[in-house]
Amino acid sequence: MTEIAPFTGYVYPNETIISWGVLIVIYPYLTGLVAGAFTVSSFYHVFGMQQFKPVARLALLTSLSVMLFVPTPLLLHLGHPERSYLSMVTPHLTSAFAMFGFFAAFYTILLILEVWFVFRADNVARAHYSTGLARTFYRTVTLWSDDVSPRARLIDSKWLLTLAIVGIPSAHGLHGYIGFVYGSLKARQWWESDLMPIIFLFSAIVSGIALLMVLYVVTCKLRRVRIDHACLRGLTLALWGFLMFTVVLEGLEFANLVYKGKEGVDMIMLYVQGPLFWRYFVLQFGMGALLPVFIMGIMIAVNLRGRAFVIGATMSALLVLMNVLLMRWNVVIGGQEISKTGKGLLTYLMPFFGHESFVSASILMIAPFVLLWILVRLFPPWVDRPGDR
Amino acid sequence: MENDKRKTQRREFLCTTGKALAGIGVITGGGKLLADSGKENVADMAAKAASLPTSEYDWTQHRWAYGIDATKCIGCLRCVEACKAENDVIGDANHFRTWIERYVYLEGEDHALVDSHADPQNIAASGSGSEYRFDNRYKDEKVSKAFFIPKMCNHCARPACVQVCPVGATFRAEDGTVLIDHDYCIGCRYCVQACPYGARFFIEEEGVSDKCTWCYHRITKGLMPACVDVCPTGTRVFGDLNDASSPVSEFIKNNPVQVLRPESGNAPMCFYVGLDKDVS
Amino acid sequence: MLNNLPKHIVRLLLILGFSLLLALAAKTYLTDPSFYKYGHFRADAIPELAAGEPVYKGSSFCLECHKERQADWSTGTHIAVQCEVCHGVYQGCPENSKAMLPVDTITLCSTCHQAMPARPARQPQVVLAEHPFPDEVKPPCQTCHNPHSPTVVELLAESDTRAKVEPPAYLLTVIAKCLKCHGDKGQGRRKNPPIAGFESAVFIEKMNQFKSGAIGSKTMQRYAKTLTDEDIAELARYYEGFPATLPDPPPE
Repeated sequence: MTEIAPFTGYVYPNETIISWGVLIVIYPYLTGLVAGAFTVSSFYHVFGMQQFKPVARLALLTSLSVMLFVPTPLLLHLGHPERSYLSMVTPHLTSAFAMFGFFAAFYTILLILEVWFVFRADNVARAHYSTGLARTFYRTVTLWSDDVSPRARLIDSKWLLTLAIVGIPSAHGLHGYIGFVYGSLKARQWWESDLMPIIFLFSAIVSGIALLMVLYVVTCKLRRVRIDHACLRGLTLALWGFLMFTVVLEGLEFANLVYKGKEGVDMIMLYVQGPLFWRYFVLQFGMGALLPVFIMGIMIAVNLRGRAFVIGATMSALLVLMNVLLMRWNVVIGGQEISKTGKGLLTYLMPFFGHESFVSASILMIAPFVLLWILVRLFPPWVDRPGDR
Repeated sequence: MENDKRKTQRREFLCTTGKALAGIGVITGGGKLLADSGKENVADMAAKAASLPTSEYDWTQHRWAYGIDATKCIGCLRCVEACKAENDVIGDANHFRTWIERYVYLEGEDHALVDSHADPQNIAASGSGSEYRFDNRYKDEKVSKAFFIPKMCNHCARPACVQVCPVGATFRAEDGTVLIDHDYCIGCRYCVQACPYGARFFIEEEGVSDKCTWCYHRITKGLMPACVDVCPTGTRVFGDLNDASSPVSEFIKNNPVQVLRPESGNAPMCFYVGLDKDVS
Repeated sequence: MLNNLPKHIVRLLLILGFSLLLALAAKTYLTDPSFYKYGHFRADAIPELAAGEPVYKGSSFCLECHKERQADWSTGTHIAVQCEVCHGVYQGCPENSKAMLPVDTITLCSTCHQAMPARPARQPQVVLAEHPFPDEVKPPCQTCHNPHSPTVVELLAESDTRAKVEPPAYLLTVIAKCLKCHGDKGQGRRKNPPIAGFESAVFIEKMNQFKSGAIGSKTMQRYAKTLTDEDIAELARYYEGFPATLPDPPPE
């Protein structure tokens, strides 16, 4: 069911069907969460920042469970998903899209390896103590080895460090190429910007930190465990810092566009002050970025503690998650709502049901967390200290 | 003691088997790659000797280009309908391999009002899904300047759409035509986004992208593209740049010609006479 | 060296190595054999794309049979207009000729000739509401304009419709039947095509095709089967003498 986009002014006849819909908004959002969650886990595993220990393993599992769903919006969107392997068999090296298959495969394997190494000792223990199907499962997962000698553990930690270090550019490459796809497209002024890959990357990091904050608070509440305030504080500081930088970058990009004032900027200004005003200035910039920066700034400045701090941090994280989703929407959909003619605007009508619809997008947003729930039960990442319960 | 010995034996056995398998794999894989590359060279030479794509038409002998004299276009839309009939394009107002834009400057206005076939009023004035008309909405207005501009794929010499295709489904043939392999396209629509001219579209039923092919099935048989044939005013011109007497060579030689969006760097091969400042 | 590593590391490396080999094998096996020949595309696609059958036949194709229209068309301004532009894509003549006869000529002709601000001045245009006279029911365009040579506006002269050739007496009943459907001047009526002025060789070929059932219209096949080869030859000579005229407009 193809929705014909209503338009004002003049648009090319072929533009009246918007090609990249909500699934192409979800895809960079999910990949961003993957890269961001991995960054959070690297705070501990690479940079050795001890306050992030409670979330480090949860972050890895989150990254993995979202990563396994990352190809799904793309496959649903493609006209011929059964031919998608061709981009790895005959990759056109001039195309940024061709890189996806390799980046994704490499990063997924890396992530699986890292999760495997992180949880290996625990899995060996679990293989010992469980029976029946569970025992078979854990034995298989540990590759039928119960070697947890100091030497084996040393080798484990070396692998872990290497993987974590290689994983940082790999995760960022996985998400950064998406920004490059938009930033390098000369046909659309709303997208064409050298800053685009950096903006995507930093808003990805920000979304990952925010997600982990929410997940950490929610899982602590569900497990009735005390929240490690040092950890939450560390996450809040990281979120605050990265968010401010992201806001500066996004602001710079828009300022550049307006300042240069190239042909077609009149339509962009009309669009931004009209249909995009609420989505862009009020929700994305205002409520989604400036407000959490403000809240977190106040909390940090007055050294807020206790329950109020948890509420403030969680709220800020939720606002940031909304900000990043809106940013993806405003870039992907917004870019296509501004006609290539520079003389017209279209309106994307998201179908409710169907291939590329509100329902399919919602399912894809929820599914990774269902998988995470399963993974968390199979490989509990918790590092509770005594007295936490 | 026995256990350890067996373990060591098993380990050695697995080790050796593993190494052997790996070795076989490398040799067969590498061998196949080498053999294939050798095969390609022979096939390559053989194919270049014969002519591609047909025995009557050799794509290395032609360099196609297209010319549009917009001052002659009367907006009759015979070309739009002919293209749809010739190439079996979806008969609605949202999928076009070629289309006409109408630019009207009302008296006192600095900018033109532009409309084309997706405009609801023009859709209402048209016949069935594959019949196209412009309505006559300006007949009672004071019009200072107005004209039609035909648009289509420009078959660029440095096409952005070819660059961004992740699998190699769209490509530039040696005779200059930019074509799409519908059996290879995965339907990602990156090319649709990359084209600055809005010439490409997606066929939802087939799951592939599509665009004007300069009627490749006609030009390889010595015919003209359908749009050039049916145009009653001589607006559209097509021919071989290798032939100085071809219609398009004469067209380029006798007129100062322009291209759309030269700053894009795509080097389009559709040459226009009669472009106006407002044409985008 | 492998013996020194913990066994799970060895197994892990084996799995990774095997997967890599699998991937390389898949790449070699799955690549289309004609890919990379001339560039980053499937070379087999080129002949596939060149193979399609053209849909538009072009005027030279139509004129192979319709030589009766050649004189008008090739000397008038509509030589720039291909036959299929007005008559639609060739769908098989005469079996599908009904579909190819323009019906609503006012809509058809106004596609190019309705006055519109963006049309160049050199294009002949009329304001429909005032053409030929304001406030009158509009007659079909071919009442006054020969569509194959519309240069000069003139009422179609009453032409001498007597055939140059006298028909054999025994064929008069047959001829009466022909003209009942094809009009008293052979001009064609009620969507039946014209038969006036056809080159006799073309007429004979088409009648033979009806007779053998090679082309359709059950009515024509029935009629053709009742005629001998001599009858068809006589009819061909007779109708060749008719001046080529335009069909009657369809009933309201």
